[in-house]
Amino acid sequence: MTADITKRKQPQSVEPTRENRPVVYPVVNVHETDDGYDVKASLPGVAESDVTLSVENRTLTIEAINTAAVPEGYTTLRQEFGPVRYRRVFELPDHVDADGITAALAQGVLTVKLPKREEVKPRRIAVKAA
Amino acid sequence: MMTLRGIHLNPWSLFDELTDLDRRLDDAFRVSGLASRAQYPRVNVYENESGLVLEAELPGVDPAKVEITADGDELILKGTRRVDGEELAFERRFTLPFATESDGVVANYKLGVLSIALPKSKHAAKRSIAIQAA
Repeated sequence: MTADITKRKQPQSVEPTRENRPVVYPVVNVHETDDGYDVKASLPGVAESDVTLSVENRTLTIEAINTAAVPEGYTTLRQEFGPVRYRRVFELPDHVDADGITAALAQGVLTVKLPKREEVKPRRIAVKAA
Repeated sequence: MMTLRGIHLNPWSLFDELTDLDRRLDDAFRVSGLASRAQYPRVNVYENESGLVLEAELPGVDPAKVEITADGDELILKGTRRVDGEELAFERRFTLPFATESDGVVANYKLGVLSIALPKSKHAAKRSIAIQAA
């Protein structure tokens, strides 16, 4: 299927601020490992300095703003994505060690590692010969 | 070409209303966690006198698995992305408002956004012609 590149023109909006941007749920995948949970959030166009990750009362909040600006000297022909504020809130299970949470952003994907507390990690118990 | 663009610039046109509805539906689907009806990847297209810039949201893709083909006035963007250990194929085709020279096409991938600069072919670019005095 061939799309007309000039279609889907959106009216030019006012300069976006952090507040007036539409709030969008980023797409998220969560995987469980023996050590914890990996939360991967799709945040295209987001720079490291524009991500805020916070934990409060067992609630993890991911917030970010993207860069989707018209390049200098250009006019818009087609706009399918615009400036947004990504926001997603998760409740942390009790067995997640909130102090050990780490996060990394690479090419528009934020990976948040939620480690499990030591006591809930599967352990192998050595069996001694009698 | 000019007529089409004229319609799009009118904020009250039915076309824009429909586009807006389309967008709302896309957002609604996204929020509810269902697959978006929109094509993947989403793109923005910008124009100036010398050509176009197309930006595509492709978070976490391997640039080596993305193929850009510019041939005359057609642009094909295709590749695969890894989702939950599975390679999913994507493809979008666009008709450009001008012919481009494939040699001049430059792409770069930053913050999960692929940006493709498509210069107008010299053949199609506006030239200013000097008028010689008699």
